[in-house]
Amino acid sequence: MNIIIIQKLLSVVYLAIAFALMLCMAGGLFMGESLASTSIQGFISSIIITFFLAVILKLNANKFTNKYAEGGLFFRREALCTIGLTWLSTSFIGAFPFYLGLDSCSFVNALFESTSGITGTGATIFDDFEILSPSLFLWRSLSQWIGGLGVVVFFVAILTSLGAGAKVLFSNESSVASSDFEQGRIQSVVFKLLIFYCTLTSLCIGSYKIGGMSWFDAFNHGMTTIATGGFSTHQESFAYFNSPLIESISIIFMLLSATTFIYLIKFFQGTKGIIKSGTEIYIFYLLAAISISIISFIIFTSQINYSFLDAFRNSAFQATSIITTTGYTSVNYDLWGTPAKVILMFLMLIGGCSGSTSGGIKIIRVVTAFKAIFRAIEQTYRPNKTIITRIGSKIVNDAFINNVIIYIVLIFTIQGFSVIVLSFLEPSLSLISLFSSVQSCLYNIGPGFDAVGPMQNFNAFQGNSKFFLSFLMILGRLEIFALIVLFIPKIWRTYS
Amino acid sequence: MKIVIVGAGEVGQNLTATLSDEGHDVTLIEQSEKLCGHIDEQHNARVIKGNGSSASQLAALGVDNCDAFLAMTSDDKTNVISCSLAKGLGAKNSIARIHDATYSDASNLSYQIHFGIDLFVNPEAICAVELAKAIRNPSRVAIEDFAKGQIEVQKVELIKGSKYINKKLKDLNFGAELRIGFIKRENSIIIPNGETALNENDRLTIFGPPETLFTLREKFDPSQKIGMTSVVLFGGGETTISLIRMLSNPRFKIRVIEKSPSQCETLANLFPHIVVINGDATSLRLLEEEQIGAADYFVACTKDDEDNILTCIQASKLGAKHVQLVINKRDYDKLIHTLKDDLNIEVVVSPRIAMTEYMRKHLSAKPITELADLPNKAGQIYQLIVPLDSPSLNKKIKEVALPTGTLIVAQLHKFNAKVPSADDTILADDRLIVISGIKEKKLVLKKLLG
Repeated sequence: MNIIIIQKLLSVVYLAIAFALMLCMAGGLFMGESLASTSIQGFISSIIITFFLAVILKLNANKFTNKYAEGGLFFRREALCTIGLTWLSTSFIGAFPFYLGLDSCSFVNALFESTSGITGTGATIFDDFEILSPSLFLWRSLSQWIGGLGVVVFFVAILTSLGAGAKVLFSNESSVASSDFEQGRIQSVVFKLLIFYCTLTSLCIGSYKIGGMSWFDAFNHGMTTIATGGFSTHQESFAYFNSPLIESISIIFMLLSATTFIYLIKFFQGTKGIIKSGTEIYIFYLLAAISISIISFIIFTSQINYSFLDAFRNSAFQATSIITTTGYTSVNYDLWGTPAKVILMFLMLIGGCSGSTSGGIKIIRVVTAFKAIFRAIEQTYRPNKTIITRIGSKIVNDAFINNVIIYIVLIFTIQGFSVIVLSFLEPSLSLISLFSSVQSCLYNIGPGFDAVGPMQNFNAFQGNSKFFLSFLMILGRLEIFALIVLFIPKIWRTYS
Repeated sequence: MKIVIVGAGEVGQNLTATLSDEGHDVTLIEQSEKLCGHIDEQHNARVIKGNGSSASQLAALGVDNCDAFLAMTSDDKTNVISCSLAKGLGAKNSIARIHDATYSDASNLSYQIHFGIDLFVNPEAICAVELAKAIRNPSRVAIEDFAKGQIEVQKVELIKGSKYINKKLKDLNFGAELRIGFIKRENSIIIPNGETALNENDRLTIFGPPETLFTLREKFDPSQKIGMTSVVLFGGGETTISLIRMLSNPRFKIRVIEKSPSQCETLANLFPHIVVINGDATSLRLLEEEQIGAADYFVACTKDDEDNILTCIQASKLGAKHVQLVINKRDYDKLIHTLKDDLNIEVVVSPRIAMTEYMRKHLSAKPITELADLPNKAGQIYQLIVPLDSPSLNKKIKEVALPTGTLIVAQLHKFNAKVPSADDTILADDRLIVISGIKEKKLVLKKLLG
């Protein structure tokens, strides 16, 4: 294991985080916080600690001038460890501003909030948003925005010195296949993605402002919408604004953010034949449209006090917010009829498109799994037929199908075991609360049902449960493997 | 000695050359007429075009009175048939080259007894013995290995702290498979018996199976711990399979790098405890990713000499501690032996040469071969072949009144080697390795050879 290069990369990440923290602090000062306030003091200490960590790692890495320190030896396992360690430690570092900047915030609460931010989950432990200062709101939103594209992609993939290693890093953190790139160099792909990400965010912020939000609200919500994170600056989330216009803007941008970014870039560039290759995207939009119509129908017929327009507006916003795994709420959907809630639960599982900021199992995997199932069914009665599985015009090979099936089995197994673990930690919670809190964290959604419903938060959980749920969030965000390998002792040893 | 060889492949030709140069009467049978003419010019041997598995042809060649019949074609079945025929016709000694391990499996029926073949040999297995020697016992004495590496010789020093100090040999409970050949104490040489007690700093020369010898090191020198040895093999062919079998001790962590996915699967099936990597070791990236630099041994044993040489150089540059390789082509022999020190290659083995050496030793006509002198001329190690008219024939070792200070350290009966105990019987054609003082040697020879 090449520990040196991992240290070097981590130090780059920490340096960048220190810079991000500084931005939030500057924002807070601009919003009128005094330099002596606890939150700003907390930020200053956090920045110093983070910077210090970065310097220590860098110096430690520089001490070794053996052959491993040279950039070349960067393989899959180093890449996986870098990603896993980055996410674990970034969640940890991100907790400092909450822990140090708030009087009444325990460390595990801070950790939960920070992890929920960086993984784009959007679940909060704050009962009362009054205690949060503008700088902390900014940090919540900015961490989601950074985590949305991926911490490593954001900071490290740009490093030219990594060579092909950057590709390994990128493919493991975001679910874009390398063959989707048009550019030969991964750095130029990442650069393009970053520009697109920033442009989309600016457009979203601008639209929110025009829709009637204050600049501060627009700025925060813009970042968390594009990251499909779901942190809001208001306790009531989108119910606070109660504006159909803002909700429509939000729906459009949430849907865009849950669409494969590479596809969108190609689409806006006017690449030839792009319309035909977007099977995953069509299925995603179709699924969103169908679930919105069904939920509208259900709540229109079951809830007497909803007009048809209300039913459509609320179901459109909630279904979009859930399927894109954002987690904004405009109404208490927990009060809806059971069929509507069950549909929402399934949307949570499925999530958005691959290569976007959304979580969940992802459409491409669900589609592949179904194709594999139909293939297996056909083969039971007609075993000699050669069946080529395609998604759109792309041929799906057996190795990919295998990976998808393993992933789905694994994530369901983890979900099942986590419910068991959580039931021991929180014996008083109802089954649906346990189930949906695990689901909400593992698939990076935010709200769930019952005790973790749209009007509730995670504050009532015990310290251990919060710790466990934070772990699940990172596990889900990294699509399991990059985190799990850290706990395999063999990866740290020399191969033999 | 009259020798008949079937098959003029690499092995057959090399044997013909070596044995005819030594003055034996060699007859080579080969099917291809073109090859026959070609070889006839090169060697001082009779070359016959014909079918080695035809009884009438063999009889016409006078196989009935030949001393050794060697079937060396690349086809196992031809070899088995012609050897069996030759034995039936009256050949004294028949040896077949065999690749398939099926024939060595005697659990249901011994192929050797059934077909009447005296010895099965496999060039790849012999090659693997040569490769395994250094890996199994780095501090091995280069005297001799006996019977395909079944018995080796090792020197150990008794270091302070060992439980064996001041104990008599008969109390040590070494087990029947080990024999202490001689002890060097300061400047004198002792050929021990049960009453000999061990002192600190004694240097012992011990005969026995390699793995038992290895475990002994720890007992003699408590500071030495048996560590894990990481071995990387490039190529998954027959040599590799034999080598893995020989390195079956769990202290060897074996990795095999093999290009063909199907061969990888075969290996992983055969040996569940090893790591099989599908890839090409000529790729630097693969070597780096697999951290070959941290390996203790890198052994290149593919059929491709160029790949073997280059990957070995690469592995050595990356930091592999010991590097060994197999050379198949005759053309590279000299070149590699000249360059091997510069390239940091420790062992170079050629299946062809290893096989010829092995056969030569096996056929060696001399009833007594001196293997080595003990230090200070205190004695000698030598090998005997027990003749049919030996006075000790069919007697137990304890019944043969050998002079004191004489030890039989190894006995090879047909293809099975062991360290004999006092109750083992001496049979005709057995090869014995004996240690004795110079003075006693005459008496020993008289007792054993007559």
